[in-house]
Amino acid sequence: MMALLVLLFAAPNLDVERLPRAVPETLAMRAETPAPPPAPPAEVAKPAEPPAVPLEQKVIFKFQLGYAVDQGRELEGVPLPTDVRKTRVAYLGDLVLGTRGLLRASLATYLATHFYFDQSGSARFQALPEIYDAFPDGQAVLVRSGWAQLDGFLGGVFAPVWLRAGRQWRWGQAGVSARFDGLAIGWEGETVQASLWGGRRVGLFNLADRFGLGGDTGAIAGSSFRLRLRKLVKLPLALTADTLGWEGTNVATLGLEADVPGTVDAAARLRWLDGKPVQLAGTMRARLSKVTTLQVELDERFTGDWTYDYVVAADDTTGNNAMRLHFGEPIPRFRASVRGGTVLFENWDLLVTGATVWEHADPDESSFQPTYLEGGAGVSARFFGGLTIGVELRARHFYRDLAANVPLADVGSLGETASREGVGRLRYSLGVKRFTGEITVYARQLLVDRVLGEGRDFLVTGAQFRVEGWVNQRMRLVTEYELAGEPGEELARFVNLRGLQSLRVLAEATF
Amino acid sequence: VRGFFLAFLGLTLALGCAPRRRDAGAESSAGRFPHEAPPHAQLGCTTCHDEAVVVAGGSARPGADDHAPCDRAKCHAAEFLGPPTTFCALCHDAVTPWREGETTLAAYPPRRGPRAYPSTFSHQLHLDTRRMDRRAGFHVGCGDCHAGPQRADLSPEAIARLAISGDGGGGDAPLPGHAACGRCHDRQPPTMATCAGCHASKRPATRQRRLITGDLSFSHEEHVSDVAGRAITCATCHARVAGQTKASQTDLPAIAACVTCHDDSKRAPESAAMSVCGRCHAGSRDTFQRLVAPRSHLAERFRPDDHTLAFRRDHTREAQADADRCARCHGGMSGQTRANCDECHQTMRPADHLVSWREYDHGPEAAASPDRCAVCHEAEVCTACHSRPPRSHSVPDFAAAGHGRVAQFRLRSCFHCHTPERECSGCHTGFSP
Repeated sequence: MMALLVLLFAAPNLDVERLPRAVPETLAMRAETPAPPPAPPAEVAKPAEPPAVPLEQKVIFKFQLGYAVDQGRELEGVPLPTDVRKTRVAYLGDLVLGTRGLLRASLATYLATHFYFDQSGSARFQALPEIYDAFPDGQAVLVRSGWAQLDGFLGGVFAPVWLRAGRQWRWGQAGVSARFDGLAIGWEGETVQASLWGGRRVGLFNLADRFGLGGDTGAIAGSSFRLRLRKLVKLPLALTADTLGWEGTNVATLGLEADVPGTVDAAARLRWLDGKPVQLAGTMRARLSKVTTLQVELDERFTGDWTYDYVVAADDTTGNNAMRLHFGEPIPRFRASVRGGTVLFENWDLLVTGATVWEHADPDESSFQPTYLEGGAGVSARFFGGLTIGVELRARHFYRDLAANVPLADVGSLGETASREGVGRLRYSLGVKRFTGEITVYARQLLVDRVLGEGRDFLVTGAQFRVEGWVNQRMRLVTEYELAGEPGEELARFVNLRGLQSLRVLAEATF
Repeated sequence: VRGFFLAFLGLTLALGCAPRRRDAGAESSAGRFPHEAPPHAQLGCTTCHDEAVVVAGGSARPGADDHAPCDRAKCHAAEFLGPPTTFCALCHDAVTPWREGETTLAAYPPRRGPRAYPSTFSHQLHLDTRRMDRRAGFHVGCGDCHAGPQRADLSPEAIARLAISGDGGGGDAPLPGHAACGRCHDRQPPTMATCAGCHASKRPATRQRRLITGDLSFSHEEHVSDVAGRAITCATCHARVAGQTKASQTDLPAIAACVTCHDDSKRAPESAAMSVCGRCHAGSRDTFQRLVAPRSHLAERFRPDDHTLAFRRDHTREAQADADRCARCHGGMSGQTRANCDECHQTMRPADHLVSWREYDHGPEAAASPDRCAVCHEAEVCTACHSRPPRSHSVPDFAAAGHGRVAQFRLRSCFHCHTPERECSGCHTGFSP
């Protein structure tokens, strides 16, 4: 309706308000009429004022408040310890505040926070652990972003300069994102884009203090450079370079990107770790039409890589392996994946995926980075009346050198041998920002080769029921209820829990 | 590995260098009159096109007078005196000289292929009411040039004359021909006698595709007002036409423009709803097709067309190119490309992160695709939970026999935190459970 009103009121009025003189039945030309005298020129030509930006485009506001209940049951005959609570009740939500050109045309600000308050105020064993248990009393306020940015504040030749200060986020090196309190300065030109950034890394979960796992908030800095050759040599290419320095670890990447607008974009990147080449990666995405895409990714890791773990990167001699997740050093491997999607017959949304990871460390030494082959497919159709039905399937087969009697030291051959997954979705919608009801059911089967005895498979099933209703264009209410099927005795004993349920009731206002 | 990368390079080059959909304007003019070929290119327009007919508003298609002037001795007399050849197909659909009435002219202008000497007509100039008032003493509306049956003040013959030859009478908002232009451009420059005033460009233009083809029907006459009696202006569907400066730009409405009204019961009757296929399509539609509509026929509010299953996985490019577009629907985003990945990925969980994900499922996925985890999570997220003993460790006999049952089931899980050499070998020598 809004779109229609915009069309009616914003578009030029093409109605005939004054007809030209009567059209004669013959095509003889009409007599010339004297043109009205030209209007006198304006005394002072006033520059056109830019259209006023409505307030709603200058202000970013989102407040979400939710009530969460998570529950699990103990196993028969294996009671949970008395200090473990089987039900967790919490309040949670997000608060986002931001501006775009509100105080000054060149100034933008953004603050994104997330909060979680366990109602019991206790982080002691919960039946369902939460990452927020890392905080005292299970109560946390996370400031994910909080920055102010100036764009084009210098004007003239230096108009492309931008400056951002505060808590911010960078993505890039070695697939590692970094959140830091600091400063970033950059140049956003049409041909050259460059930036320098640095500051103190932020660990949102405060693990250093709680578990003594070493420094997780040291100095971090990096740079990025991008040169578009389109204007210089009329080629749709760009050269890129990125660096990252973190507590004695230095990462550098050189890349070449190609972008044929509307058809294909591709990138190849070579990454060095402390001066040694460790990774060559390439991505290619072909956009054959608005809805037909093909994505190919290749990734070769030549040698042992940076342990993606800010927690212990600064101090890996704590001896606290048992106090953290310990996957070991990323080992050499080759990864390839292909995803293709299209919409057939103007409605049948089709997705086909394939991937393989080939671990080629010598000797084979990691159970956590296995060799596997994966294939998947999905289809979804939208019906008149707002109904959508979709199914997605995926299967993954792992290749492990399984021995009959596995010595403890040979951990590389341990783990799952195959997994299969199926998801079905039924969605009824009255449209964006109106009403949506959705049911998702899923089943995941995992085949595991045990240390002793026959390999076993176990099945995990579950469902989600979700209802979202919009009170108006700015407020919505969401209710999600999820439950998991009975996992089977062996798996239930493994996690010491069954009967998982979760309820979320959320109210959200955005501006 | 090298082979994979070579294959990747080859695929990229193949897709990037593959010939793109050919522009109709660049198509060969085989089978069409070769305006650009000598000696035609050296001839003046009026050598073949009768100036008087043009000035009078006609199309002045050459050859109407027993093939004159094409059959001149210096031109194509030989072709006209000989048996029919492919030469005839430049103008005729069929040539059967021994039967009267069976030699038929092809439609002109042709419906497909490039348009030679395209008009430089600008909708923007002609719909600029102030300019028109100043220059011509009046301004025009759409119906003045696209005169159809809705012009009750015109006779059918006048309407047909105003339309471009071959398009008159059939459509109810036909393309205007020379006659329509001549009403004003008899003396207003460019005048009708100055061909190059409008047809200066020698570069063929793409002929606009036609939307109303096949079994589809449409009537402008039925789109004068909606069910509530509110007027439907031309701009309701052709919103951009007033800003278009080239004749080759034609604001043909996408089906989405139809959906805006035809999915709204306050504007279109139920009998004309988008789900009533037969309202526009003469061909039959079975029940299944009525249920599963083409996406373009669904209301705009049912997500953007490009948000497919594949898009859900691979949308980096779009997010980098237009962060504002993301922010329009996904609330709480800054609309800036420098951090919009984080802004969205921190608040929208993936579809598979359901209730059992945390307890049963995420381990194998994290082992297989740690890169996927790293899109949203930093390492602390893992450690926040894994730094504390699992529930299974809390059973009374875990240190004695209990841990053996867990280890036997999934020994690998022990090594999330423990190393065999450090924590296990103290009691277990070799492998003797």
